[in-house]
Amino acid sequence: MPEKHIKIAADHAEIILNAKIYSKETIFAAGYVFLDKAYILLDQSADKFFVYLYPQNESADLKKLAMEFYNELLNYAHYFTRVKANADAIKSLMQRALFSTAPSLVQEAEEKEIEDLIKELEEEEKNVSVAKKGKK
Amino acid sequence: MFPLQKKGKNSFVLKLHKDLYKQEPLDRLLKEDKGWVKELKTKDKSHRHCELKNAQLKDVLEWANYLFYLNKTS
Repeated sequence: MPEKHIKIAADHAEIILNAKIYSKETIFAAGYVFLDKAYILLDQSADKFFVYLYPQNESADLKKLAMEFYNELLNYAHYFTRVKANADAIKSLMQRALFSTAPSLVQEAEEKEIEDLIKELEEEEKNVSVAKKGKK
Repeated sequence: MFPLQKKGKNSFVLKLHKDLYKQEPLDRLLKEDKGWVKELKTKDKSHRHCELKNAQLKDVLEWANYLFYLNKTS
């Protein structure tokens, strides 16, 4: 199976990736980790990404390098999936952390919420009294 | 499509896909390295073609890696 997606040439390895599985962000994140051990060229077609890895150390094993790149891709694909899935929880934790370092922010937020509620109630009362006058 | 082509004895053409390589870092790098890198006019709508003159393969690959770095960090 990997042979279908990895082609080994004389001086580089070509990795063919399904664009439905790996995003551009994932490829750039994985490539960034490899910048000190490989030269990276990228290309894309309608539904595929092509990654060309030239090892900086000429004696490097090209297949091993390509497989390591796959591992890094998987690592970042998982990372981005988890970030997306946990976005709400992360936001909530960050807010709590910020509020705990500055308790006055909590008080301000509560006061603002109370003000908004009072305004809402006042508008509702106005609407009710206008409706009653209209009936009379 | 392989993005790197040798052109003549010491020149290479690098084809950079517009959806992968951002315009701003590439323009900046072309301006910085105008002494040996220039963009070629082409009918290819999906790629920008850059010619790197008087260069060895390693120079071209290092330039491409720097462009990759700028794309990731900008």
